[in-house]
Amino acid sequence: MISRRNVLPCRVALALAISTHALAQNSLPQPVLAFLNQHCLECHDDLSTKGDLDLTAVDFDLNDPKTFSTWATVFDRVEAGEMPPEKEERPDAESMKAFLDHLSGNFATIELELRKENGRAELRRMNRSEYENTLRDLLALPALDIAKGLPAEGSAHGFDKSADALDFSHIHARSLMEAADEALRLAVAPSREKPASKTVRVEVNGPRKMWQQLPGFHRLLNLSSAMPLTGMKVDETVTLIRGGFLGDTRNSVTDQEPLFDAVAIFINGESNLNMEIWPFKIETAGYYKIRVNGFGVLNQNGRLAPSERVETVGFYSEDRTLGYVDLPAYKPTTSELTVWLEPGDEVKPLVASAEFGRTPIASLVKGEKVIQKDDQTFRRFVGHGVAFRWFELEGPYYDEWPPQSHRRLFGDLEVEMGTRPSTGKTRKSDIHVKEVVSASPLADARRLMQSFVERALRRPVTAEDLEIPLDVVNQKLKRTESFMESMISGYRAVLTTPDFLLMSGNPGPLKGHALAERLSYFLWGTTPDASLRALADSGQILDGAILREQVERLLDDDRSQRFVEHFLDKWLKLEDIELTEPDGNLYPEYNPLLLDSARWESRAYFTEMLKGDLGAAYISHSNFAMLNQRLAELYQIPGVSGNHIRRVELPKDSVRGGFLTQAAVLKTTANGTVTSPVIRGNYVQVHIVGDPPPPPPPLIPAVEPDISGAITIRDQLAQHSSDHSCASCHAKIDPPGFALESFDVMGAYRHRYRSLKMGDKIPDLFFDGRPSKTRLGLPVDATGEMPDGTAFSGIRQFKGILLKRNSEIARNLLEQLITYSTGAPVGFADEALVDEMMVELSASKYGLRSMIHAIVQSPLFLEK
Amino acid sequence: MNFPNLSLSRPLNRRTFLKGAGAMLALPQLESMVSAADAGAEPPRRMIAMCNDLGFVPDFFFPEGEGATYKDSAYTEVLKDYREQFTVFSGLSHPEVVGGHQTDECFLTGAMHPRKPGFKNSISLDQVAAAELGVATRFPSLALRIGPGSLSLSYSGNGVRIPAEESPSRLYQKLFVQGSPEEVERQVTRLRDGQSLMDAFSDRVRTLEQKVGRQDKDRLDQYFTAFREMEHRLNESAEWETKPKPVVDAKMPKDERKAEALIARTRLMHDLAKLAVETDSTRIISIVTTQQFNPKVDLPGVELAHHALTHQQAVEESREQLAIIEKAQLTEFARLLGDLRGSIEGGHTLLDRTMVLLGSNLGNANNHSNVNLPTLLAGGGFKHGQHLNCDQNGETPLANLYLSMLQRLGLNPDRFATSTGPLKGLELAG
Repeated sequence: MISRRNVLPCRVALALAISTHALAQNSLPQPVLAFLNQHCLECHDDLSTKGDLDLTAVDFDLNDPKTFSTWATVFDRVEAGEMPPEKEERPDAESMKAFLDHLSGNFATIELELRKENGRAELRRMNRSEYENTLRDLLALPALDIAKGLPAEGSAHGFDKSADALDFSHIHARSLMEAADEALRLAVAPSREKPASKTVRVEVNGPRKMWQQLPGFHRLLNLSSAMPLTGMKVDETVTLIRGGFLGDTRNSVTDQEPLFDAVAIFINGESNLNMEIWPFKIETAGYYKIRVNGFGVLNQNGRLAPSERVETVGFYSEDRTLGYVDLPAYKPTTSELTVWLEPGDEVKPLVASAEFGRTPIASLVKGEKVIQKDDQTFRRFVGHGVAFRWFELEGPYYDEWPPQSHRRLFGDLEVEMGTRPSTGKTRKSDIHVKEVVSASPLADARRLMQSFVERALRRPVTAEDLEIPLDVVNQKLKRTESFMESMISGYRAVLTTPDFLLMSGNPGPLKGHALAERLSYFLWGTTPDASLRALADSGQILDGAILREQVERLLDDDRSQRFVEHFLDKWLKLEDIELTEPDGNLYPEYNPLLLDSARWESRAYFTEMLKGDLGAAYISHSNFAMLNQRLAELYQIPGVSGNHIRRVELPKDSVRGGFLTQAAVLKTTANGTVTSPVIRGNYVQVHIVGDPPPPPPPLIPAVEPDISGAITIRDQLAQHSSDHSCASCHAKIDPPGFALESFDVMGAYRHRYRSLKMGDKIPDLFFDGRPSKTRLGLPVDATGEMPDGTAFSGIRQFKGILLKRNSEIARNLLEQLITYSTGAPVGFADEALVDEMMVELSASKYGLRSMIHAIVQSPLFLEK
Repeated sequence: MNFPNLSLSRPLNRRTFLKGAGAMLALPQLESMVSAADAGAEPPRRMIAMCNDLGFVPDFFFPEGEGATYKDSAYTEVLKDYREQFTVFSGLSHPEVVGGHQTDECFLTGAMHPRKPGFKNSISLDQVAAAELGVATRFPSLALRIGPGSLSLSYSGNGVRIPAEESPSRLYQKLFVQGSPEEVERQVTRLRDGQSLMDAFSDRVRTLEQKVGRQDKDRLDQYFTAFREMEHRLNESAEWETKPKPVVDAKMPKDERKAEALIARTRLMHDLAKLAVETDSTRIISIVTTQQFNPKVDLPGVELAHHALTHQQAVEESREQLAIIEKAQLTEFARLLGDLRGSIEGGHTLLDRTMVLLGSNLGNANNHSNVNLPTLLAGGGFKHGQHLNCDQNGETPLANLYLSMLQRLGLNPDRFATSTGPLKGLELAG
């Protein structure tokens, strides 16, 4: 049963309520009345009004949104068999069918009538991530980062792809103008000549150089939590002096010849250190290569112990992760990363694969005293790290000059740098200006604007389209303002016109360009490329076979990752994965790399489903997983080393395989400290099965896990559910959550709950270098029973039960994809079509790629 | 780029401005507007309205006894240094605003039936005030949020949500960081360009409207209104851009990203709110605290996640943990009151001139009830120092209090949302 409670877009209904359509009669039709009399009114009348519902007070004017909603709820409950309640007399199948058919028939008629005027989906604007992607592609700025600065989007039907979710306030208007301006300025070439690429190298070589070039490393040495090495051995001649709490001075670390040539660090977080590589200053935006040379180590209380592990170095700028590279253990290796950097960016290395987030600090030494070797922190913990030998930064690189982004706006016109006096009131200093030199500004403006508008608007350009921006440019040129500034103003006007911001399409079948637009925003989240555009111009895109080819092409292109990421962020709520962070005391193994890896896994898995047209069964079942070393460690699967995600065949009895047991889903459905079967059970019902349980009744306190570990959530729920009114719903909600109790808040498999208060100590578990306080408490019970009485012994059997609901799960995914791609949820009027699609799709076992083809070829997608 | 709210309609006649638009950069008009507001000897009146989206434990919030002799509750006890500067209310609700957490968007609007399809929000308290008073300040109002997501208390005249600023550092920049002359000029240019586009866009929207159905016309209207509302304040914005921003001692804050750091986040936002009114950058602020995403709060003695705790208030130990969090929140509230009281302006404390509303859309978070909303109003020139029990049944419209607040600001509307009149028993200070 699929919930239809809120499917009717409210504005549609409101608009119609004042219109003259009067499809339904206001008095109750006979089949409805008969059923109500016999089965409903005993409780839901004006005397009892159980559940706050008085059906005697509701008419049948379905054009009224409130009335529509009431009847839709009635429909849902009866169809689900939840009403009339179990203890009452069951309606016979025939009268129930008559009742439901009558209702849904009426709902569908209303919807179809509304669509005649408006189409199925409402007119919407781009959402902020689409705006960013579109500008990235339009301006050839692949690293453009503007979405974060735009207001957060709302959500409707689970996505930010429909009008209801995409409000438009004056703040949006202003933010979009600012974002467009920022992007346009980044697109202009930074200078007339191509900036020369240069290489800056920073070597680890004794304390003096560290003090000047790698102050964070020097500080870590001074704290004695970094390990100095010479020729791959611990350098025993390094002397450390601590003068007070912040005793890091230029003389606090000294070394005798030979000076140490590597420093190993053991942290994945910067906390209050500054890990910046000081000489790496970015003056010009562009692509740079970051190189690092070093090797992985395992520190065992100051001794280098054998390790097979590949360590991962992360590079960061402020809060942005620039990227990761791998370094194997004890084999000095050079690794390289290509990144886009802008002026102001920093380059900070950390050991992403290290266990500790913060550096352990040894007992403080007062005054300028030498820290005795036994007191040195790195001799008192066990942990993985990386010994760094040198870093290099090379760049900037440009594929062409002037950059493609500049050509998109100014063709071959060159940039000139200069200054002019300020006209501002506040400061008198000169303003640095950049100008684009044009010999014939008016002609150039027309020529450049024509080509820009043709690219920007996703349909044939009319004279009127050019008029607005050219007026802006010409007015400014008349006032003898700068050519570049005039053009930027004109371009900005294009990027904020309704024609650019709003998705096109009139009621009825989509024309070529609107179809190309819908397809491109579905699978790439961006404006159609030249090929799609050409097919739209010629009208060939309307040909089913060609449309099919295009879907294949789009899916095979890397840009389809934008669809994968955005769809999973919404469908599985993976965008919420970072909202809470596991308590470090309970889960010292958790680190930021695990969070990234978890996201990569789910995306790579969905991509694999797309590639292989894997069926809906793969949502909960699979004989393979997409893993890197970090995830393999968490899942206890041997033989996976290195940070890149690859396909790994799973052992036969593995609990992994499918989304349900992926770290990303398990983390998203937990909070920082505990898991709740109610939350996870609800998640499975809503997002996987597509059968949302009714909302919790008012005035009933919820049940939450007890953190002391004295009582398990199972026992608490058992008490809660002993109340009959709770039991009926929880019998439906909880079972999937019970099966998932075997997984902790990070996604690791567990037999016992963790507790800080009671249970057995866990040996060799450190939290930031200190022995962890985590204990193993009560055992986990992951058994359960489905509402129909089928019992399961744990996650593996539960997955087997889910297989029996495969067509429901498939249908849910199909409906989610329909909502995502068309901007409107599946309504009553769409039921028959979706039924047909399901029959056709059964041949491919509901393959994901087949689903996308089926949607794109269906009237749901081809019409507004 | 997420701009703090810049308000919509304004009392000043825009057309008088437009006539002089050609010379906008050198517009002296703003001075006269400001001086009109500042001409009187009295410092301006302000309002900060705050909502805590997980409510407060009723037993700890509402005091025993009524009037001036009420006996402190666990929470009013935290505010005892300010007892004469606030009133605690019981018996207030938004009529027909039910639907658990979904009522958060109605806290300042009072719009009925948020859960029903077809629900459309209405203008919020702060925006009504900003439309009248906002003209005198760089920011007509600020919509702020403590916590992640897209929740906001502020809604424009056509019921469109006004995005709230979550990042203290970005807010600080908007308020106090002077752009380079280059940036200022760019901003002015953008604003001026935006204005010249309005007529062109208006024609485009009209052309588009001819082709679409009724519902899509609504969307086009929304798009157009957004630009129109932005235009409404282009003149003032452009003028403000070239004026120096106030200089404050406070350094640029670092955003607190840790999920657990509710209290640190609260303090950062409170500090900026106080600075914003103190520097007269704005007179109207809304702040929503959202903890629905259920983090644990990093306070000693708190072990369970916050949202989870609210749902097991029946358990003694959980209720105690929840009280630790809520007391810490109230301590931050007290700190804000103290900071406002410590700032003197024209012989008045800032607190005397600033109404600070603290409340919640939930009467009882445990069961998602929306009646008898915990509500507290401090400062702003009322006779405080009492527990005002408005209604045994808890059904006096909260909008009555809002109406009183609007009147205190010098506005004179007949009603606001579901109000039936100014709140009885709340009197102006002499």
